[in-house]
Amino acid sequence: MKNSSAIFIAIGVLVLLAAIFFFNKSANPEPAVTATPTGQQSTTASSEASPIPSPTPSVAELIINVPADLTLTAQTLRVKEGEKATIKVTSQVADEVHLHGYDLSQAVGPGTPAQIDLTADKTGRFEIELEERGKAIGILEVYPK
Amino acid sequence: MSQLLFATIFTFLFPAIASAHGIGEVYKLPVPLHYYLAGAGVAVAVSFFALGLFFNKPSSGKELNRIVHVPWLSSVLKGGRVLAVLLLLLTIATGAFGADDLSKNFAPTFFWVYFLIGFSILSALIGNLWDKLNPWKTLAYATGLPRKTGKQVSGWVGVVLLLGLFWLELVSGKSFIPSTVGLALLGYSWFAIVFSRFYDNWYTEGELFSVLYGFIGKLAFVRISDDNTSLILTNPYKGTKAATAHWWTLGLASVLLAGASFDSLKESTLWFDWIQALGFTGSTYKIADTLGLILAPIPFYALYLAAIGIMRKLMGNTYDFKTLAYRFVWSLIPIAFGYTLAHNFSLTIVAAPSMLAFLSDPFGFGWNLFGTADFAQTNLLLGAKAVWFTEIGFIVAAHIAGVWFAHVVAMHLFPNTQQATKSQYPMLLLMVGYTVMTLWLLSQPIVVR
Repeated sequence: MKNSSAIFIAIGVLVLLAAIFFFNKSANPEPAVTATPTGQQSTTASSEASPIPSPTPSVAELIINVPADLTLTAQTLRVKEGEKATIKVTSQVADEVHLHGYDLSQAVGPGTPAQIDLTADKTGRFEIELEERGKAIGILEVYPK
Repeated sequence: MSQLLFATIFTFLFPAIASAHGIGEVYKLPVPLHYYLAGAGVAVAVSFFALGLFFNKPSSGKELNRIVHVPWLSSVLKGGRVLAVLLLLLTIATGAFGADDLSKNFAPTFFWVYFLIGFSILSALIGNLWDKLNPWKTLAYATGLPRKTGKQVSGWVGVVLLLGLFWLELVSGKSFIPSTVGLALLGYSWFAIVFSRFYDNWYTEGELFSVLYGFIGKLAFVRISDDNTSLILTNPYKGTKAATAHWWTLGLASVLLAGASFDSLKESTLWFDWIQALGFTGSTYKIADTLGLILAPIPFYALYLAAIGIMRKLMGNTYDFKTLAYRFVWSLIPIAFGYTLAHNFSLTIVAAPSMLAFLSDPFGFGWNLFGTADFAQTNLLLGAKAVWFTEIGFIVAAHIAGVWFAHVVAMHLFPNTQQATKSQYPMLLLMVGYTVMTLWLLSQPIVVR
């Protein structure tokens, strides 16, 4: 019995070491910026490539166009902690864009686009919402460094 | 056609609301893959340690059994009963008559966060505390002692009620509307008081919170004596040995395990893809969620029974199936409790400032009784890493406690350590399975509805 005991404990130690290795691996394998555009609702600014290289190339952008019938699939903008992000919203309906957690709000409506600039200093998953209608129009995910 | 009609009625009864947000929101990111793998690895490692150590352990050790006389305990409990009744009335009143806004009203945050999670934790520490403080019991007894009727309510009533509670919390979409909380509690109060007149065992096996906290309370090392004057310190195992298990006890464990897991499943893109593939659309998502919640306990129930079946075969059929199934069911309590904490504990921290604010202004009428009304503005955020470690930590701790509990049960059931250890192969596999599944669910991408 002593033998099997030693074997079990040895396997346990090995698995535990493997687990510790995983915990210590670089905190985040996520790509730095993955705003995922799907055609009609949203595009990233990076696709509107300007000929002059921007001095701050690490600003992640999410562009949201809200149609009058509110049929849009919420897109996710993924950034790393400390990066800069910009959320641009145009809307066919008048409302208020609210970024949860960061508690940033701005009025939006036909002819009045909203732009929220922020430094992603809080980690987590934050909803971008049309406040009055309670409609989620996007997600900001900030991963730890 | 009838499906459409059903959908229409359903939508009419339960209109979608603006998603509950603002107060006590934990901005949870899905757990990254390598955290999930590491958590699962720790669970597997612990299981192997357990196997290794069981071989060396000759007996289950000393039995803890002490009675500590606490003269002032009964006065404290009397005060506690009055406080419990007052808090119940306050929650109903604020929910029903206060501002119908989650961020201004005492009722939703108090009930869903501090009462449900808080009392689960208290019950795990002092096993029968709820039985001593149950405000419905107090009210029922205050209106005349119930006579013996000789009738027993089935424990399945408690299981169905618990499913109902999870439905209200996870599926209804109205759980954080103060008036829902107030009215649901008012309706339930009637139920919880009146039924004690019909069934002798209502406050142990019928009333939802008695069943729930009684179940979690089986974990506790401390109980209050019947005459309310002493604390009894004892091994949880002794309590579970004395208690009779039933199939519904297993049902309760399964619903508890499933409730926490369905919470993360239904937010995942995975679930969303499934129900869309099955033809559910916006207005019928709630039907899909309802079905999902009802079906979710089945895999837990089935996997447990399968593990017990394998264990019985492995041990040469020395015990009948029912005995084994009933005896090991208590090892699921720490797991169910741990999952609940994994999903909700960070909420108790994040919601703390707003709870302080609600105490000063419970109805949301602009009062400031204790000068804490402004605390709601405090934006307490937990970082993603803190949330991940809380989630994984509780799940792995639950796994360890479950493995340990099952081991203790096995040591009492089987003649020697070798046999007891052998019996634990299927149980360890089951618990690793539960743990990996739960961690995996937490790592799923979250959908926006």
